[in-house]
Amino acid sequence: MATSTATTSSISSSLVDTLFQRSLDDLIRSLRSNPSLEPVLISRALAEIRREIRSTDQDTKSIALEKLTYLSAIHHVDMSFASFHAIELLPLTTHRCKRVGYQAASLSFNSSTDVILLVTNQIRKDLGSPSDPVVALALEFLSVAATTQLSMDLVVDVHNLLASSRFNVRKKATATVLRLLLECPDSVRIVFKKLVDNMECVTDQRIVSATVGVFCELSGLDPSLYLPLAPEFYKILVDSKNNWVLIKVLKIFARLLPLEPRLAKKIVEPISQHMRKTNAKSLVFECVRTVLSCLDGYGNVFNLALDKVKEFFISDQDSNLRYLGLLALSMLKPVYSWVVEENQTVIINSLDDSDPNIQHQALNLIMGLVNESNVIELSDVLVNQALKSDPLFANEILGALLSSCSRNFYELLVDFEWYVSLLGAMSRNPHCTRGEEIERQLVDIALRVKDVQPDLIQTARDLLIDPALLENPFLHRILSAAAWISGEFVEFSRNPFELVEALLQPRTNLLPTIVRAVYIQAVFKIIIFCYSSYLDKIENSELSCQNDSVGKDQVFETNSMTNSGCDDDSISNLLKTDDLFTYKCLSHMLNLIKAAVLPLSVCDEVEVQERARNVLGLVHVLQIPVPETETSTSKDMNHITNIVRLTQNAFSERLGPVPTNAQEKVPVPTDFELLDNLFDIKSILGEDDAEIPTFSSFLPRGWHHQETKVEESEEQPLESTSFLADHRKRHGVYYLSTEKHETVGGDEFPQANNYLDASITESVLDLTHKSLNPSSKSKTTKSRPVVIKLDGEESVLICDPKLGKKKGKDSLQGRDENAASLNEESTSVAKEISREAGHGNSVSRHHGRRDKKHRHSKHKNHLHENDDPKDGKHHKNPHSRYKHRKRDDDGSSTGLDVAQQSMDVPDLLL
Amino acid sequence: MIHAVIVMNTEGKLRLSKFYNYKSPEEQPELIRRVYGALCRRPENVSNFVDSADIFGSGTQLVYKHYATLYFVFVFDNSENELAMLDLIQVFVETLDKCFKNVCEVDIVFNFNKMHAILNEIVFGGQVLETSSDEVMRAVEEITRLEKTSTNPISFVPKSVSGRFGR
Repeated sequence: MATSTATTSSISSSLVDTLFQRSLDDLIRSLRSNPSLEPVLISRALAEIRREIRSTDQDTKSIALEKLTYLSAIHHVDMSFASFHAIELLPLTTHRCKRVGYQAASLSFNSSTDVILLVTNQIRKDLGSPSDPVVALALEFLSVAATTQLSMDLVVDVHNLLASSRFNVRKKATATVLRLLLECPDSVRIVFKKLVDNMECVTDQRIVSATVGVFCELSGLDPSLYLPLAPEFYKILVDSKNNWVLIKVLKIFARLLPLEPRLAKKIVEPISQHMRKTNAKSLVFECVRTVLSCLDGYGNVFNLALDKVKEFFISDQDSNLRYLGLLALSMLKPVYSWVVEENQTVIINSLDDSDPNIQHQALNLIMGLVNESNVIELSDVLVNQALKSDPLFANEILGALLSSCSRNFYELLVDFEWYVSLLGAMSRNPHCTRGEEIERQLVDIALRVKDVQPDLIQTARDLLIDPALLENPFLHRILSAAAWISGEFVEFSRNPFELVEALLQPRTNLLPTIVRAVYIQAVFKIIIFCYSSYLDKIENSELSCQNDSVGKDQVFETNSMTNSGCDDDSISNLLKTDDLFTYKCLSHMLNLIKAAVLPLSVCDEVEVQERARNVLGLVHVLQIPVPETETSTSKDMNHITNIVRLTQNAFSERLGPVPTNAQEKVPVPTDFELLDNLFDIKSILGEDDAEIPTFSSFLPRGWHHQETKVEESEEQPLESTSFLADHRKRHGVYYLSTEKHETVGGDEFPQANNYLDASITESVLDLTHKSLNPSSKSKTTKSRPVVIKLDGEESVLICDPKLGKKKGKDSLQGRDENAASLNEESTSVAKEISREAGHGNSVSRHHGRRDKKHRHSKHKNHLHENDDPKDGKHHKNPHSRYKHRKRDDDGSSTGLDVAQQSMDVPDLLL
Repeated sequence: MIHAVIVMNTEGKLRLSKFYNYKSPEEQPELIRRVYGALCRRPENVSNFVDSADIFGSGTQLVYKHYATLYFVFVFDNSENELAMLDLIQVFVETLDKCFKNVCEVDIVFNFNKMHAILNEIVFGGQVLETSSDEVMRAVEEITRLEKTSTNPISFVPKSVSGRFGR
């Protein structure tokens, strides 16, 4: 009894479902009526569907499944639970239900659907149906959802349809065969003959089109299998009038040509015919693509294709054609870079296009053109372009430049001074987000290319001194590198005090703490350098009476005059540089440092706090009053001298690049006893005891700071405001001024975006002219500085056909020899180094204490070598640095220079 | 081959999607979202091709056309010609226009089945089978006729009733 009630109720509920079922349209309407409640409505509809779909009534079931299919297709609802219901609908005779079933199945079935095996017989039956739409449904399902098993079972049935007289069925069967063959490649033997027959079908071009499409897909997998069909394809290529078919046949030939080069001769003529006759751009483009990538050996057709590409360029209205024109050029093999060069103007103009595709393609082409003779010219064009472009493309340009210039240990670069200033210019691009890479390259170049260190410090100074750069968080990494360079190579700086001011400027509080720590450490190194130079000066000039009364500002003036005026006379230059390190300047600097670093000594970040305290401790020690006369050497002076010399020794040891496997390369000396007790270390430590206590004075100060922490933090804002005002007063150029002309007229430093200047273009043109003129080139070319490569780092051998093409030309020969000699040298350097290391030399930076005088003379050497003539130009004309600079030294002396430097490479663990 | 056909409106709402290689319901929204992300960034009057290697795998690109409030998108690989695909979008839209007499977004929303029927005539298993909109119309009309003639046993329930109760 109970069961009968249940049956009745289930019948009645299904009747209610049937009577009041919502149609698909109702569902769509309800979803549209209230978009905000969509998820709720969908889950409600889903619950409804789950109930309805179990109905015994086929229409209720089919409507439910139809709604579910819709929700799945548009709202991505999972409908795998309804797989079996879909199969239930397939055998029904009403076309609607059958269609709903097939539609659901082809949308949701995949290889993990277990019930898919149940459909085989039904599909076979439907494939044999006299109704075209029914066969189409079954084929459609197979064409997207056939599994390997289904393909094996049904390939014969589909194969039979390939000969059907119903062309609609036949073309769909052809397309379905593709899926079956992809799932079950063995079945190719069954269908192959019919497919080939269909290719010759004369009654309906659509059959040919479908068949060629299938062969096109298949030839993409293994072209060699379809090589025997070449005559058939050739026949279609010659006879067919259908562009779709021709495009597909061309694609097939493009895949066959690499296997059978003799085909080229045959198809050249029909292709050029098509190119001449057709109006369809799609066919022209396909011909061009085939010719440029496969038929480049045939002059006539190649030139015709290039003409067509040019036509594409000219079409101003259609950005698609311009894009495809550039795309076609990028298909050219590198041997034909002259074609790209021919169209260089169009390509460079395309960088300005509003279309990102065109810009991207143009950039790719330009980067393909870059070689060492035009790298400067093109880079300047690109950096200018980056300033004008939107942020995305600007960074794409910068990224492309950075990666091609640094490729294979900067092999494209000869003029590193230029490149370093280019890195500076890139950093100044307001969109620049490539800080990390620029940081890496700055440090990398600093370590690898000794010659360029003076220029690096100039670039670093320009970056550090500009308060505007501190605002861009993407530049902080670059500033970190610049700060490190300013500390490490401070001896090349023209004005260390300026660096200190830049490093401690008020806005450095915008920097992340990790970068601030680098800044403070750089300050530490600069103090030591300044004091050491000061002490040197006193030692050297005990007889000459210095007029200490010269104020700081006056000293600065003298210094800048030095730089602009007495460039050639390096001795007088040096003397005047010495003027910089007066007692007043130093004490002024120490006061500045104290004011700026003091608040940081209570910083929460340990790295910053620790370094700030180190600096303060040093300042505290150094601030013991130095007698005005500077002639008497008191006990205090000796004390200071000791500290300064000691620390300077520690810092003067150069860091160099160290290969990762360096440790392994150090042979263990045979008489080396690892297990020996270190009992005699005490005596070594005892020797140094005399110096250690001097640092104990840090501690009381530190405690004092912590006690007065609260007071100080209150004072801090006041202090920093006055500090800010002070900074603004002295470096007004970098602050937004109240008067407009001030910023414009700031001739002391180059403006951030001075690249836009027209004079650059002139200088670039000038440069192009020079580089094109071989006689002037020999004068302008300077030798490439040594780029240290470690023997662990194998340079990637890139076969650059462009180089191959140009080899033998006089302009490049010198460069090649040069490179060879460089290689020789670098290996000799490596040998030298490894020999040194073999002797078990102590290598650690802090232990390697070289003879002071030797070190100092080295520095002086550098000051001589790194001829300051250029530095003067920097101030006079900010653009001059982009010019290819001449080097006064002749080749031979440079060679000696290089050799000397290679000996100077610090003893590294190699 | 053609990997997918997508129609969505300019707000990113999906109106039609067909993937010729199975994509699970979990993958689909992500793909659609990324296609929309790539399209909505592009200014007017620029070329219609977008590299979709990071969305649909290497070697694929998509071509799109922007009509009124709709994007029509075809995703294809290197076995298809770029300009031919652009023409195909034109064929598809022309056919829709003929079917719905001045097609608009609402037509596409409410004619889910017909949209699929039309698409199935043009692109079949990722292959282009038909480029004549007249042929497509003929085939679609035949299907419509076939579905109408099959009698519906519950057609006595007026549509308006079911509609009213449905809300």
